Amino acid sequence: MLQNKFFTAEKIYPNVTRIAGMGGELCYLVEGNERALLIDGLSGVGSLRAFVRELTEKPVTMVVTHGHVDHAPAIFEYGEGYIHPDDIALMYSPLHSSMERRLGFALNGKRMGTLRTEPTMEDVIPPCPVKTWPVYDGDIFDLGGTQIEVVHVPGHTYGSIALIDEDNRACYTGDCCNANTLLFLPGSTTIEEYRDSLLHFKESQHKFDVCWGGHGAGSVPASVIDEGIQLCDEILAGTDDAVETDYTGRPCIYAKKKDVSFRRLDGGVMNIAYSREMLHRRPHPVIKGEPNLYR
Amino acid sequence: MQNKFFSAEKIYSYVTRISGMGGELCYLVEGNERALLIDGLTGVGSLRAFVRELTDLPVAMAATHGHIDHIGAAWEYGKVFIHPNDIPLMYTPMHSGQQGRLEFASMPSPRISKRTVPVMDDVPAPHPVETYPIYEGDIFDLGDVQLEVIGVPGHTYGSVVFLDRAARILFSGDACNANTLVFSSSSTSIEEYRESLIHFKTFQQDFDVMYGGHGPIGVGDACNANTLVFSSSSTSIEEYRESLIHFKTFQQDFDVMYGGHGPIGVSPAIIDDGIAMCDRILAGTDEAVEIVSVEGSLAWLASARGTNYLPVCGGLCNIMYSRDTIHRRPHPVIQGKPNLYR
Repeated sequence: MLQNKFFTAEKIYPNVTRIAGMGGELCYLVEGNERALLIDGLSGVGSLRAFVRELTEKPVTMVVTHGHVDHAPAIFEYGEGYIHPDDIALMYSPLHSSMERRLGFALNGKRMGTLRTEPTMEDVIPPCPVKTWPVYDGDIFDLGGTQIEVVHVPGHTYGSIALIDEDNRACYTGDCCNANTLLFLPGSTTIEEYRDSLLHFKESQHKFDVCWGGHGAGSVPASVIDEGIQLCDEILAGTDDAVETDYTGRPCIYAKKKDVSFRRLDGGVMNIAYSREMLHRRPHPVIKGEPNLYR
Repeated sequence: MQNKFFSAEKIYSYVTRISGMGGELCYLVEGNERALLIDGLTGVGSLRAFVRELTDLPVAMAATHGHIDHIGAAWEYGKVFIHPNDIPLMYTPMHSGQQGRLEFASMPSPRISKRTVPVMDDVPAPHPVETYPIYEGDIFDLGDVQLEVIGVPGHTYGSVVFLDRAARILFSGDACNANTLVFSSSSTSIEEYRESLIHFKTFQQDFDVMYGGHGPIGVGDACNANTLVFSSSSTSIEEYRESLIHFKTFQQDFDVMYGGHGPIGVSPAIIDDGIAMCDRILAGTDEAVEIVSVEGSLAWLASARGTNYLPVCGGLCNIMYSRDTIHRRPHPVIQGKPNLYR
């Protein structure tokens, strides 16, 4: 295990390092023989780029699973990165790029009692326009000797992707599907669209056994995809637990009853937080001078 | 209206066509709430400042594709709507480099009345910009004007055109014209282009005229800076330097061409001509006139160029292609650098 004041690195496979940021957010460095792929960029508090440089001698390509505050910001250090185009506008929105918001995210570590330094605004990488290389469903990152395949799983955001590492029978899923899948945010899809995404994701399920996400202690089994499809069906049929609550101050509904640690009371793993206004497919919005956050 | 770098001309009450020093064209479409700048010329002189003189509305910029002579103002606006497939292309040295852009604007031509000698200080430096994705079906709402995005991959993988359905006008960039360049490394195969045109044809009844990224425009137009119809988007300006002599040949042809050219817009019938031309290329029954492309590679013209630059076999559409990319290719894997084609 390697760590500095801001980041902690831990090998989860011989060629894969998981890196945690101050707010507990996670990213993954996958190394091939020729190149390395950094999957996600944490919150941009402290230099992840410098930390990754200590971890590998290989040229690093950066890709983000989605454009959120706790996944994209190292892109502002690298100056370029692969991202699904549907999340570009989200990534630049103040909610996900502002220095105040990102510092606030890192300071979550205070509550968790895990900080090794008190981060300040000086530690926050300023946002800037970057080269956003498009990735789409089916694209393959060839790292030399190992290949990582892209699956588009819109839901948490319209541009959410998962990255399949078939050699390790693993998938890096960002916030696509987990015990606290947030589908009520501005920029999330409807439940109908998410259900379609999971059905598509399931076509690749035979390539991996576990999903490594953007938060949490460990991996979850690939069966979260099946649970997710089941939950969508129940939500759309109105037969889920429909627990009305809030998450970080925003009202939402959890499909299944859970405890404070997001463990489902019925023993399942996957849970979905949704909004009744976002169940059914919406028409695409027109563009009025500014980019939209959803399609 | 004109300054040293640009000429503007109203082609409709709410549409202004602006030409740059190299003869490349862009369009400012104004609704009652906001304006859309379709394409950004080459980025020599401040198009943004020029557009600011033309309208008081908030302006968004969209690009029909990522080529040097269409994307230039993105370096000034700092944000641009563009099809994601052309994002890597716009950043390549060939399409963003200041030297190449300056040379594009400096191209000597007997028909362009240059009003200044552009220098490197007139060329805004390229830098990362916010590239917002647009796709087939997206609609720009300018208030009382709507522009609909149609994907026509061919010239590049991210080529789009903009349809004003109410006015029955289409802004076509370099998607199809009398010198459609589909030969470059970032162009699609002929098979894919043919499919694009068949898709495009489903919109054919929705417009009467299309306006492209290069001439032809009326002769004797006082503020005409548009001699270089041919160049469309010379896909490569890097090697273009080596081909100035070749370009000059074009320019001579061009004098002839403009002499006879009246209409400003192109008829939608060009889509049928384009599909027929693709069919001939795929069947191997086109004229296949060998030519050295601006990239220095061998390319083939589907038909010899006749007067007015139009194909001698008839119709409005000619295609320059490469024999290596007639048929669909597999998608390339990503090896650390973004690919220029899919």
